[in-house]
Amino acid sequence: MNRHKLLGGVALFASVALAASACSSSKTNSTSSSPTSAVTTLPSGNTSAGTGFNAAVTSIVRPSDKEGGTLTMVDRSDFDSVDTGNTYDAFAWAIMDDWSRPMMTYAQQPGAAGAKVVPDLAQAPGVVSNNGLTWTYKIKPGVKYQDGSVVTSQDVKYAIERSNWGQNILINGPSYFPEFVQDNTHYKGPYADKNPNDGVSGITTPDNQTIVFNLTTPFSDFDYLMALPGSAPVPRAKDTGADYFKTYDSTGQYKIDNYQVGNELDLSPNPAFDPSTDPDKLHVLRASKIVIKLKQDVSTIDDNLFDGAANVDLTGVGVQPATQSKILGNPKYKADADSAYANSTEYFAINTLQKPFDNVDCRKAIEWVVDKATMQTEAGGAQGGGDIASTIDPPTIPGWKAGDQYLTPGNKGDVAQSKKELALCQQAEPDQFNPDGTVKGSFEVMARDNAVKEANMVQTLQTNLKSIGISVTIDLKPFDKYNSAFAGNKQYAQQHRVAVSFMKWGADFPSGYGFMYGILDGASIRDAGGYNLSWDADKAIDDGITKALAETDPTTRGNDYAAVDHQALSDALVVPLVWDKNLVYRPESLTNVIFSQGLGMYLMSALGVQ
Amino acid sequence: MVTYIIRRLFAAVVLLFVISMITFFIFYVFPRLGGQTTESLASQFVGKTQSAQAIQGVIHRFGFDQPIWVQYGRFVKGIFFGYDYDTGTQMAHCYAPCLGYSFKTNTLVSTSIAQWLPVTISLAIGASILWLIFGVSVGVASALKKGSFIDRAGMITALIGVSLPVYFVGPLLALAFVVNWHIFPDPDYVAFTSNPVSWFTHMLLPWIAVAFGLAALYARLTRVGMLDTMNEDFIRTARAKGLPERTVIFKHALRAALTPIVTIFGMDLGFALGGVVLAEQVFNLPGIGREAVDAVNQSDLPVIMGVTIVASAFIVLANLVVDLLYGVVDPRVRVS
Amino acid sequence: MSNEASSGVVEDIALENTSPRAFLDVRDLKVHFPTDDGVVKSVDGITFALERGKTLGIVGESGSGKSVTSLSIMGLHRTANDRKKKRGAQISGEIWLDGQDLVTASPEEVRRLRGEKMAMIFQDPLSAMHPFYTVGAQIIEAYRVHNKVSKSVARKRAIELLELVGIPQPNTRVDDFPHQFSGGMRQRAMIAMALVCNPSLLIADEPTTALDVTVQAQILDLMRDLQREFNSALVVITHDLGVVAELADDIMVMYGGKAVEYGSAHDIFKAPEHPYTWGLLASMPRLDRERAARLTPIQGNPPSLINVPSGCAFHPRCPYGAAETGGRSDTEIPLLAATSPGHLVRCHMDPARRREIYTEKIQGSL
Repeated sequence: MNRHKLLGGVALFASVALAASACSSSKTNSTSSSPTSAVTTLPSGNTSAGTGFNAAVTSIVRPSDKEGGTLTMVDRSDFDSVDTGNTYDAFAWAIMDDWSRPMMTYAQQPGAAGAKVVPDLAQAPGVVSNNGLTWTYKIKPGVKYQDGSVVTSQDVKYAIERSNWGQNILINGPSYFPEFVQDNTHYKGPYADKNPNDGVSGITTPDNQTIVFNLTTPFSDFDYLMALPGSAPVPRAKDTGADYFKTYDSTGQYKIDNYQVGNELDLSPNPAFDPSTDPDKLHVLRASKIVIKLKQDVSTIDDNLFDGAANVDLTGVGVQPATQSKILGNPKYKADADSAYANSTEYFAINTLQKPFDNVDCRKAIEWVVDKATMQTEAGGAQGGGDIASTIDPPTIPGWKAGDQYLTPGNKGDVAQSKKELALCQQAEPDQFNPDGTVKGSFEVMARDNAVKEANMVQTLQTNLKSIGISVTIDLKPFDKYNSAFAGNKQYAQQHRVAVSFMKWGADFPSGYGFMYGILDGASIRDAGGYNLSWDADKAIDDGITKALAETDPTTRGNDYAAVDHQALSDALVVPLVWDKNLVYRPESLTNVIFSQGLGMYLMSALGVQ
Repeated sequence: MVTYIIRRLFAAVVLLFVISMITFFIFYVFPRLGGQTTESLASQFVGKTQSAQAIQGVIHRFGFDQPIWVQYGRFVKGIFFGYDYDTGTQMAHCYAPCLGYSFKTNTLVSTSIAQWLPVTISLAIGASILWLIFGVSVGVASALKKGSFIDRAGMITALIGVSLPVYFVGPLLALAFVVNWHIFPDPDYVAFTSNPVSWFTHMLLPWIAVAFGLAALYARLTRVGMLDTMNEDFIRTARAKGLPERTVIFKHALRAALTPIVTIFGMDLGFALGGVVLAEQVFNLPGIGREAVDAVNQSDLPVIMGVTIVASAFIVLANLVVDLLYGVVDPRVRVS
Repeated sequence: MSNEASSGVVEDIALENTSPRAFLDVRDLKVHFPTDDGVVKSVDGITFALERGKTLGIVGESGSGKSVTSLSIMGLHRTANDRKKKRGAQISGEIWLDGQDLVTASPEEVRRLRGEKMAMIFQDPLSAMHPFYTVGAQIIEAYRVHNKVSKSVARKRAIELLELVGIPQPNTRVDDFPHQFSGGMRQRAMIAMALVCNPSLLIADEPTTALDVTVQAQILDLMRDLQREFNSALVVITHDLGVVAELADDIMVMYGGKAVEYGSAHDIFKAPEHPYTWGLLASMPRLDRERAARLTPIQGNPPSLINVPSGCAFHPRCPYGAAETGGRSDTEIPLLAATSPGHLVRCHMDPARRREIYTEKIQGSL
């Protein structure tokens, strides 16, 4: 089973273009940081070396640019693809910089700086013009593929076209661009339309170094899109479609020597890589060989880290519960571990279509009564599970503000307050209540059936709701079809009187849009397969997101997103429970360890071995 | 004899057809009967984006838009003749026996199975040798020394072996010999061709884990068979002829006692070749069984189909070999 | 008359008479099997002698001890001496074969004699032959274990023997498996296997029981012919008096592990004196008998060998004992006593009275 899908962040889902408009500014957005002229031996000029528990979150552990050694990684699953144009696996994104150079990439920095993107293949962040509708990038000169040929801006255009418009063949990756990029030609993608002269009209390459994107609507997070692996260049002549992963043309500091599906991926230094094209030291060759063992058994993967058989768990979703106690109980191990935000939130979505929860007071009753403290314990505690959540966005999202609604003593829930809200609801919808104040009928709460902790959490909810007179039954359904056939299926939710659905959500990139659009925006409501499990098209939320996307000032944009977050709780659409934290272990053999706030895991492509 | 084998082979092929049809029906038709649409079937193969284009692409490439018999026909045609498939930029050929194409891994199922098969074969053959040798010798020793210490110790061990599943024995062995004592290397698969010694040391624990329970079973079967056989009239006859006890036991008794074991062994081996699921899971061996479980978890239908066909072929083949072998070891069932 | 006073004397008659020892000389043979329920006295003191060229028939119901007797001669019981545990048979007495006591001989010595000097023909040749080896292979094996010859020599011998026992096309049948033979042919092959080493003692345990009546006669003829040819001593064990009538010179009737009547074939058939023998004769099918009177089964069941009835073991089933012996048969074990030279009977009834009953009541109905 694909563990990353179970535990890692779930992706953003955007397919309907935003309506809209607004402010103009030609300024670049906040994520920019000018190339550092690196003089130290440390990556990106960072000199803050740290040791001890959580050191990799705030500093670099064992910083090193030394080359040599074999870095052995283990992973619980296999890549969905090693082709940058065909992947949606979180761990894949964290390692792919080894063999590819996307236009932008996450800064190799600990802390908040690591949630920002910096130019990689691009010379600089996108230059915005035309009222936020035109984004222009120039690529670095002299960047080469492993066969020695030079990367051009046409290759970037082709790469984006194949991964976003060629999804009839490359079925795995995200496809944001068609939602925002103009396309008068209704391009069918390079695989359905094999004419090399055809392409998306909104993407132009005036010369070999320049690429221009014309958007249909302002999208101030555009640099984040350019940090998706799909922007890494692919030469049209070399593309073999679905088979390209077998002959992937590397632009990174490593190349793929051997990829045995489901078994092993071996990387060795890419001789064509020229460090002079990488002034920010994003692609430093550290290990002289990288072996990634795939589909490793969950029960032995942690042991491998302790006994030295592996240097790091590429899966990046944290150690097993048994290992958690082993690490936290032993200061020696704990000093080699980090517990940091995984950029995902566990929450309950309240079904606003289900009477009486169409009434905001009834929803607020649920907000008040939930015992978040117990849920945190069930999620794995403060280190292995996460922090008790007061907002839907985790604190790593730029602009985030701590929530101030539904705070209860000890986070244990407040039955009195809850009953007060329920009484208000009863006044509004008396026919939904029994004379004794309990809610008529029984409802379902849903969770995925593959995690004991989720089952425990909905059981706690069941108890909480019972205390205010709402009776529910628990309905656990398979992870794979949870959103298509069950919790995310409107018909199912109606037929089964689903009141609350458990959900765990992570963003493709750390922005308010990345996090909230898919689960709260009215445009994300689907009859089946969607992730907006509240089913509420709230104009205030939709407008708030649109406004933020058009906002060029990062601080104001952050405030806009925080306001959307606040609105979602005011409307009592979601009950945030836990901001996930993963307890991850870094064996002493591992060097240059940085916990990336952007990726929610170690920066796998920056690791070395000693 | 030749016509018999041909007849049996033909029957085996027919059986495989039926199995393939049933499997196809279960995975391709059942979901539709259960209300799944073409789109929702296809959506299982598409990544998280679930873009309409991706879903349509899968529908078209998979042939979900074709009538069900056309889809099945394509599958069967692939097995015998292979077929062309679209990689986007060119048409590639899937050579017979083509078992389909996995959209999850963008790999031909036959390629994947060819990659997993040596693992499973290594595991199954090695383990089967172990369980046969140990099972039979312990069984014989127990039977001959019935009631003795050897018998009791052997049978208690066998009882433990039969009761303990691989997923208990496996991790226990790994914990003891790998984690604690570092006698054996970490569970992993090393191809025989790349390093035979390493292959052996890596396979030894999995072999033992798989063989333990089956050896126990075989010991019990052999013991009972030997005890029964030793009471047969022909054993008395053999003794009456003045044969030394050794000849009586090993030539006369064991021969008769082992005949039913041959049947069971053939079936067990065929079954094991179809995937030693638990052991592969526990010891991190990328064999057919582990991959089949993964395929089921991921609803990777072409892989499920392919593995089912291959595993059934092994079992059907094992059945055939056992039947033929039975004619060799037991002349009474020999066909004229 | 007390038990102690006469038992040795009378039962020793046979011993005295057969000194110097006969070719096969069995004296006071006891075969006891200890079990959880008690000791099973399968054979409880039998004595007989047999010369080469002669045939002894041992007759009795199942459980009378006749097969156990034959197996103990062959040394095919696991004896208590073999094992530390008290399982297996406890054998006492003497079994002299050609001057060698088999009871005291080592298992290995007895093994060498088996098949070589003494051979056995079993009841059901289908189960008594190994199903997975050809008839020839099994005969060859029997020959080669005692004769250091090549396979081809042994094979010639096997074919010779198969021909001798009347198997057509022995050259090809030698490679057939037992299941490919008919029942009679199989028994012939069994006989060939037994004779392959030219044994001087042949024991046939119910040699014809599993066969058709017509085949039975052929096999009996064959055995008689072969015995003459090989000049072997033959022990035929059967419950069928018809078989011994065909073959035997002497007959021993066994009941409850003991001999109840022992004499020449003439004695047993023409002047039987033990009520059990009468019963056996009466239950023998005869075509010349009236249909209604053809078979007269013996009433009751064979005795338990653990709790043997007190007195005469046959007394619970004996129609005469109670009336004729004044209760002695209930309490006192009768002795095997000579009623005429060579004719021994174990019965409390007065010999004259026995003959009288036979003549008046029994003879006519047979």
